[in-house]
Amino acid sequence: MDIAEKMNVFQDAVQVDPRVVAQEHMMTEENLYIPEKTVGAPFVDDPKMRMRDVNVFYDTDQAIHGVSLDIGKNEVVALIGPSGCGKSTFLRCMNRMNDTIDICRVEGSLHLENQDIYDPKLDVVELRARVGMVFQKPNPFPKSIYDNVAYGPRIHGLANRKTDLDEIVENSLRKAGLWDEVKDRLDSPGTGLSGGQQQRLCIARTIAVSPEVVLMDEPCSALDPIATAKIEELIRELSESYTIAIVTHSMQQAARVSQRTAYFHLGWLVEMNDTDTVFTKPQHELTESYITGRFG
Amino acid sequence: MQTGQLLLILAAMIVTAFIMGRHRALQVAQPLGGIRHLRSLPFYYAMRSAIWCALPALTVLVAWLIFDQTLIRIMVLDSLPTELQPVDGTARNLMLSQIGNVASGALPTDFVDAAVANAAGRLNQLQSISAMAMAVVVIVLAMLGGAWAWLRVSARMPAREQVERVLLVVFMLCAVLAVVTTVGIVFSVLFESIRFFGQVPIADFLFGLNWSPQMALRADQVASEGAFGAVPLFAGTLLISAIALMVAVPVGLMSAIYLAEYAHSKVRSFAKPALEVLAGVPTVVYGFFAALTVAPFIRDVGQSLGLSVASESALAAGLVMGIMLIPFVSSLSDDVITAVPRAMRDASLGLGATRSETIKKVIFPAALPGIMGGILLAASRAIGETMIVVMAAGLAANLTANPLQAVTTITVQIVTLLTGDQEFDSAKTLAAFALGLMLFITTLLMNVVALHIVKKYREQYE
Ligand SMILES: Nc1ncnc2c1ncn2[C@@H]1O[C@H](COP(=O)(O)OP(=O)(O)OP(=O)(O)O)[C@@H](O)[C@H]1O
Ligand SMILES: [Mg+2]
Repeated sequence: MDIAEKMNVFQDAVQVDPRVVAQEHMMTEENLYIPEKTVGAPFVDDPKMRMRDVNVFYDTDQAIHGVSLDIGKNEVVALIGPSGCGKSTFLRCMNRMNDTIDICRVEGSLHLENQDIYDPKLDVVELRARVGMVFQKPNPFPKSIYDNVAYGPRIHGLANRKTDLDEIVENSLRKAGLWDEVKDRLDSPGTGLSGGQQQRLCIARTIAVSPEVVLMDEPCSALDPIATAKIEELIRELSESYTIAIVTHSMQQAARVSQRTAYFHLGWLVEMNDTDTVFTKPQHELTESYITGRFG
Repeated sequence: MQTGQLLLILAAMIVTAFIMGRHRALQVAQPLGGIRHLRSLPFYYAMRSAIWCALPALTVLVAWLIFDQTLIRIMVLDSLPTELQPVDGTARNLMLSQIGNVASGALPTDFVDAAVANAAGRLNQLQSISAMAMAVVVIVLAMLGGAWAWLRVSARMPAREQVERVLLVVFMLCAVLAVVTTVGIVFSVLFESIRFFGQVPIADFLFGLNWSPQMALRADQVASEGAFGAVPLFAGTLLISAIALMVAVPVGLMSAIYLAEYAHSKVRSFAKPALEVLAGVPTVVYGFFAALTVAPFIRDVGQSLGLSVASESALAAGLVMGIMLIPFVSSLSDDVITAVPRAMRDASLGLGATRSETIKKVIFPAALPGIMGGILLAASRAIGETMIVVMAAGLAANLTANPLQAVTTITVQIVTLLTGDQEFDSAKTLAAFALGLMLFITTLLMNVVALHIVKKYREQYE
């Protein structure tokens, strides 16, 4: 066995730092590398949500590597990045939806204001009432429009009387910009609406429990441009009263709706900054190549 | 030659035809530059050869087997002298069986008329000629067919189309056979039932409260009306099915919910097949389990509580039948519960619902039509089940709602009506057909409803 071979065996035996592998991989192709520390300004004062050194594993595969960032109060944060970079995974950590996946394991500290999200004593039911979620594909229940919106309030006992519930339903549908379209057919099934209407119904359903934070995972990817424009308008309005984190594949959308943008790459948070800065003066080559469309 | 041997030879010839057809196709293809210059793949030429070899030969073989005995019988009887010619059908059958016995050596020759002995000799002779001729004809036909197909192999021949056409006909014949058989059974049951209703008024049958078919057989009690009242049987069937479903539906459903929603994938991969094994246990095993273990247990418990329990009780049969039906309900429900899209679960959980709230409010309603289908299938199975009831519930046609008494069901009565020596057209035997018809109509209706519900459910998620 010569020296080179011995070195190979030795290297195989050592736990390989995936960041090194990723760097080598990137350098050979594009001469791009993942930075040691997130570039830009990932932290804000007095944040709504504070995430530090978050690692997420699916079984043995690590999908998120030491991500730290803040989401400010009443702020819209956009999460962008190539497919498979872990945006959805990270988003789902924030209301513990990852708990529903057996093989998923989350490390690090995640706080909603002063509440540790992964505190074993925490009631996830309460957490999810405070941190709501809108999914990529509109997923109304096969129930009436009214029952869809009333689902959350009923579960959490938010209304004592029918009139209270009616009021919550109407308010939520108004906020979601759907009231005028459906007020005459609250009893017809939610699944009978158009795709865009369904997604707004899902948003209404989420805000009906008065969450503090709304997580949205590509909420417009199944919609046509007109429906998308309506939802984007809605997101801007909602940001007055809610804190929003939105995953999107459309950079225009990120630019239109968000105040700050985070760029993920292969599970690392490469850059996070004001949206304008990210799109006009990206500080990292990876971010720049992504937003200029060199890959993604 | 025996027919079995002939079939073996034929099979060998068909295989040979297949191989030779394939070989020939390859041969034809070679000078052309490969099999892509053939119109069909070599497999189809081979199949075509095999079909040519098999079909004519098999057709003749089947026809021969159907008709040769009849022909031989006529010829043997003709050979008898006039004074021995049978006068009517019965005598003819008697004579034929006598000749047959002599021919097979079961009856010594010197016990019978010399003419009969002659006829027996003639029978043997004819039979061996027939067998020989059949073998020759079949083999020659197979050879001719195979050779013809072999000769006709050419690059332009549409072998695939021809094979597909033959296969189509074969599939169609099989389908027709299945349908015709079913229709035949239904009609024979229907006609016999109509005959039964000619003897016993249909209203008496449907609404009579007294079932004792034995009485009608005795001459002095011909007029005993109400002896064929089927209400106790319907009631018994209903009682036992209801008990069975009361066991199977909750247990099956909850185990399905556990397996689909809570169980770890390892538990699931072990528990689901294990549950399905229950469906594979023969019902007779359940039957003696019910009769020997459950029924005495229930009786003992009942006695210690001061209740009078029959040693054969509806409860015992129903409980065991319920156990038998658990896998029906659980397996089907499990399938429909897992078919509820993940998005529905996520939506509910994301709103802060707990797992059990999600199951109760979202998954269960969405899966309900499918679950209903499963339950209805289980119910029609319960109604048709016989063995457990025969063994554990007794034969007494009590009209009672008390599960601790012996009752009887439609299926059990059919069994008892048809076992033993019966005249085939007695009201007693015909009653079995009427009961069968009722059973058939009930289960058919339930299956139709179940299938309809299941189908409707499927459309929702496709
Ligand atoms: N349920 C799961 N089980 C195992 N691995 C998963 C699971 N979900 C995601 N992953 C892996 O984690 C990584 C990140 O996935 P994630 O869905 O978070 O990406 P994403 O950024 O949302 O991609 P996209 O933009 O395509 O939605 C991927 O490599 C993916 O294969
Ligand atoms: Mg995603």
